[in-house]
Amino acid sequence: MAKYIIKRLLYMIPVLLGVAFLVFTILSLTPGDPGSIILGITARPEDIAALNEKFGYNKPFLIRFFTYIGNIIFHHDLGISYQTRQPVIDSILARFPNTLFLAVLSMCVSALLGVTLGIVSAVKQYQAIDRVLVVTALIFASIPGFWLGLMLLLLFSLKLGWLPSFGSGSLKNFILPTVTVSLTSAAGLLRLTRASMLETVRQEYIRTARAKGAPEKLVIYKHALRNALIPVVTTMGTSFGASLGGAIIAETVFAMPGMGTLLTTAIRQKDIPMVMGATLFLAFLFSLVILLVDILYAFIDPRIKAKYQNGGRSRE
Amino acid sequence: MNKSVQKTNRKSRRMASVKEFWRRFIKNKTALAGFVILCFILFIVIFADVIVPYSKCIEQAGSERLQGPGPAHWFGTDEYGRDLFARVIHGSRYSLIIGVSTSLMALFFGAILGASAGYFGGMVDNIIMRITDVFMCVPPILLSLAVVAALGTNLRNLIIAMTISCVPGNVRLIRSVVLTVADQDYVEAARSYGTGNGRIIFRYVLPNAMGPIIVNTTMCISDMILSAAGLSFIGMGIQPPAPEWGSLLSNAETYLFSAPYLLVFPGIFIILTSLAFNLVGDGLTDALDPKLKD
Amino acid sequence: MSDNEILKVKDLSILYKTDLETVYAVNHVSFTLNKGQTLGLVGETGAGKTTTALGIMSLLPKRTARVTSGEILFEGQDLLKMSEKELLGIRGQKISMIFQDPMTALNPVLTVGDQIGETVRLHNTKNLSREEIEKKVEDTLELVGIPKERKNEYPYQFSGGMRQRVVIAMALICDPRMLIADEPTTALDVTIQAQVLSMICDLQRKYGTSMIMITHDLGVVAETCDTVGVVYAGEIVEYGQLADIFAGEDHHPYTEGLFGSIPNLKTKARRLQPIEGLMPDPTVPVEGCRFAPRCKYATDQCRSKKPPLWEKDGHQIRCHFAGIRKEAKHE
Repeated sequence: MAKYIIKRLLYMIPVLLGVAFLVFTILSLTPGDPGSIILGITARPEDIAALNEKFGYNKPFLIRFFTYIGNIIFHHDLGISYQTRQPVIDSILARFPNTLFLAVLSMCVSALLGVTLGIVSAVKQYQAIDRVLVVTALIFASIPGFWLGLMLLLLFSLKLGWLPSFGSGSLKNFILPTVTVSLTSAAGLLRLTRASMLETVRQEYIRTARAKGAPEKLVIYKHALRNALIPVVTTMGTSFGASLGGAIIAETVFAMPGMGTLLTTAIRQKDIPMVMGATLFLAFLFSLVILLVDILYAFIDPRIKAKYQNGGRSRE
Repeated sequence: MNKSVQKTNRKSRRMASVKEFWRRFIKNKTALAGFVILCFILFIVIFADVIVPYSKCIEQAGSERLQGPGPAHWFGTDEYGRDLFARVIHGSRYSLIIGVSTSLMALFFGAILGASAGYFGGMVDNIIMRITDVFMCVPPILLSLAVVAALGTNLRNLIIAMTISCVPGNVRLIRSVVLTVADQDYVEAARSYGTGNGRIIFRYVLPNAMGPIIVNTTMCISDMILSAAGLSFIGMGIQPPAPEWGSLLSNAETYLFSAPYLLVFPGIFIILTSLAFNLVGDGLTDALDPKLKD
Repeated sequence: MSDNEILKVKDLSILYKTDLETVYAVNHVSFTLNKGQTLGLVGETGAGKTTTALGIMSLLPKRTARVTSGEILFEGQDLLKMSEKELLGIRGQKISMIFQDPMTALNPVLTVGDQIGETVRLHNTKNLSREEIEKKVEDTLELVGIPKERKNEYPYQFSGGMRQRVVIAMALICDPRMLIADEPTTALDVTIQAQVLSMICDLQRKYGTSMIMITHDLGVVAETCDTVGVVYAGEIVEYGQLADIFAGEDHHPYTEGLFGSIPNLKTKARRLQPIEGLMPDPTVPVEGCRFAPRCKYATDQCRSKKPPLWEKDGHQIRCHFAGIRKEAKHE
């Protein structure tokens, strides 16, 4: 098991470098040089050139990339914002907890809701409750998160006045954003769990369990569920990505200071170091979650664990 | 048996399976509902100019600002006095164009890369999949945002951004489907006759892997419509004054309390369109995979 | 039902009904299994053998399958009339089943020891302690020729033959009175087949278990069975003692065909004689004899009228010409 985790951790290094390279490349496509973005078009060309020189903006692409990576690794430095002239990392660290909290909370709520209802739906296949759940899930999967958020805002904050409509000061602030993000992703998880469960109960080992005289409850919860959850767990990583994306948009709706609002502001202001820092930061976070999910996956499915225990070969 | 008989046989067999597929599809009430909604949306997209001229979308009338729904303006008017009904009707074109074109482009690139990775294996597979791993580590919306940040906000860039964010998932899906199919005996058989790689991929592998791919693409259209609306909503997609649904909603946010109808109508249309594709995709899953039916 | 009989199936019919079609899988099947004996059900794939077995276990797919007639008397009680709760006490404890494909019959995420022990835990009438159950699992593993140390391994760590041994251990651990073996060796390598088969038979004899052996292999039948039912298109077309089937004078044309299609080293001059044609479409109800379309002796009578059951000393044949045709054949 340790071998597997170490192997996965080592594989993270090139992947993270790749992610950094990808983001760096995309953002280098921005037209215009940083000097003129910072100083504006009215500035004197000499000043622009001097600024570009000072920050090393006119060096070749690869040199800039490795300098950037070096700064991250050795100085925990993500660069200086064009706008505030403050280190990017400070703004990120100030905003990031809100986003993470919102994403993790939403993820937990949606997993709980989606998986439970998915099981209920599969167990009650062909019954009214299954039909209702499936159609509801389809409808929720079709509602844009931000629209749902606006509707909730309208109802609970503006009309009823029960919950605050902006900010991030208290837990109350997180209720509506969490509902917004989790409902849409729970819909997807419900459908996936249901499909996986229905596929699993058709397997022959389920018939074997029944032939042993196992009662229905045991068949479902011991034999089917663990197998059915394997594909669900594998998508948890992607699902966290969706929660993160949902959080970015929900922050705009609920005027919550977080990575989403930071990013959109930075994009509008063409604050490239800020965009790059924030994007990389979130991508790294996401990669870590994917890693965690992979490790969790190995715990559920013994076949994966074994692949790394006995020299990568299982007897088939 | 001579060749022409063979051909008609194959044709009639294909017809029969299409018929059978259609029978299963329309038997599913929700799928049929999706199909009807989809036809309705397509009707709007095609005949938008006939329903209401485009000029009404941009025509500003200061005297008619923020009027609620009524006989003159079915869906009311926005803060510049523009007719919301006209804007919603013409906005359908953006959503559908973005949804369909990004999904198809992502399918195209995903198919080429995924099929090559799955079919050739080895080095090709390794390179393609490692690059895909990198892309998969960036949440789609973040990838889109980065592309938009670099290239600027307009329709073309939005399509590029969203396509890029959608390709890696497709590569993975198509690779895995191709891997299962390429393992089948009939592919082995075709290879043993000396059939070329390209021919095997396009004639044997992809057609047999079509089911999950079609379903995925249908669902992808729905996702893309939602993402495009989301990006436009936070101002990173289609820019006003273009009547894209997401950007209509972005404006509406300001008048959330005083003019909630600005929010309701575009929202309903986004949901309907996205729902239509989801329902159809769901119906396709069942119709293409009879074993799900017990 | 006499004391000697453990299972008596009378006039059993099962069909599968989907929104597309109705499949008549088992049609008026009757047979009897004596205590300690083995009944073979032999026939082609799709003849309804497995459906019959699942019918006995009451494990037919609930939504599609219907038992339309008959009774299944197990130790004098009709299994078809039992409640689900009563059936839970029967399955695994009194009747157990060995499945065809050991690769898919075991749960991939549970250890084999857990899966074997589960049968005991479910039917723990003797109130065994946890240690006693573990001991029993280990003993049973050794019994089927698996070192007991392997009980904490997962199914994927076993080869096909070993997995089938696990399935057998699972079926036998509660000393069932009756065992249904559904093509237990079909999915295995030929060399392993003999091992597994002789092991099943040894254990069966040792514990006096009655067994239904489902197979398409006449060799397996010859080695294991006391009584044989030849199944064709959901019907038993010939039924009798092993000797009746293998050495009897009268046969159903299908049985003849089955024997004609296996290679015989002694009469090497003759070519294999396959049975021409395919099994009839099970979705279409048949008027006359189901085998008529493939039977070289078929007459108009065969095609229009259902053949009666011919019987001589317990040897039954469902053919219009049973007992008559023999002479005609030699002309």
